[in-house]
Amino acid sequence: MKHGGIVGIMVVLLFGTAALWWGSDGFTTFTAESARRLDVARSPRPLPAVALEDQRGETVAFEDFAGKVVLLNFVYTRCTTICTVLGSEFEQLRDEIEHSELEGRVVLVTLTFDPEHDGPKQLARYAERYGGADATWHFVRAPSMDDTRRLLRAMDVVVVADGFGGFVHNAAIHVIDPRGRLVRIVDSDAIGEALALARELA
Amino acid sequence: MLSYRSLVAAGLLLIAAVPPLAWWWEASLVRHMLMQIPMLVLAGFLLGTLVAPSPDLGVREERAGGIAAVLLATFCVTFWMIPRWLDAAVASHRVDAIKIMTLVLLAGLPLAWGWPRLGPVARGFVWVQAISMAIVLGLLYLTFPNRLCNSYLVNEQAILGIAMLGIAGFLGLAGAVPVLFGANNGSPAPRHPGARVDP
Repeated sequence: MKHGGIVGIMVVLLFGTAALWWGSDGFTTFTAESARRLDVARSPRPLPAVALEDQRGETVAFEDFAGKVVLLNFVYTRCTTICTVLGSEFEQLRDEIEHSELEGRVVLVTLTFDPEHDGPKQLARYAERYGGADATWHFVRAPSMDDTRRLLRAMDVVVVADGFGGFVHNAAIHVIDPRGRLVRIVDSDAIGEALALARELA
Repeated sequence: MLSYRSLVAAGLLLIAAVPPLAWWWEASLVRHMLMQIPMLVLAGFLLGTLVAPSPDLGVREERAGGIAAVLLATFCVTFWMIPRWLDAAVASHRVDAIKIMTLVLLAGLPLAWGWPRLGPVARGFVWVQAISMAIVLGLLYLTFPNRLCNSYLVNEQAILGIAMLGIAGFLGLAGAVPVLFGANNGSPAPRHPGARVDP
């Protein structure tokens, strides 16, 4: 063991660097948000089958959108900051979709993660702020909090109380393919990218 | 004293690692990074001082081994400073258990074995590195406009940044005190040959 110490240093350097490499996907992914996006892009995730309820109080499910591309975002209707921005971005998306060949092949779904407060009435009122729901844009909740948690968990969406009665959450556009799998996550303002993906998948 | 140290280590582990208290530390970014993680490393360090044989500094290999041990601890702590793994530890109890075990066994324990084996130059190097890392991370956390962790709020990030800069300042001061006033340097400098001695 004449050179035990030196060998030790080499081994630690090797394994330490390997661990950091592995833990950051080759020194590219340092945040949980980029990690989940990378993971989804690599291996699409099926969504849990949960009962949803739309702004009219009618029961819907993700299966109802089978064969179509779904662009999904998460909001809570009391939100006055980011969700407002998310709303107007989806409004733009709807405009683009309804004035293109994508109409009927791509739908927008806004899902609340606060089903205890956001019933159909609140969802309808939120929808009104952006011109109301139609065949393209659906506003839904999973009435049971357990189902909501399952959905959030399946997509690695983390909701944190902000200490002022509101929430902070990952704002993004979740792209679901016609087979009902979450295949990509893009920035909430990446409207062009979301549309390009939708066009590719539809 | 043997039992005293093991008691403190056990106490630290109890406070830092056992739910629901563990979750309380992890509920805040600052508590998670600057209180729970240091407590776990310290617990491992104290346990390490109980089991590590005292160094034989005459042996060169011991010093290299010391460097390897401190490197191991550095890698381990660095890993858990990656925001996505901090997030993962909050999201999954399994990851959290791994975090707790590795910080105790792969950071604290080797530190106790390695630190006494480091020569003064290596110690100074590690110390200065720690200061510069705290400054870099502190500025990053303080000024980064987006959330680095999904589990924490952006304002907590700023608080963490300020705290890290504070730690950098503290490490700097703590390192400077022995240099300026310590026993080794307290002795008068060798007199200049031509210096006049006043009667």
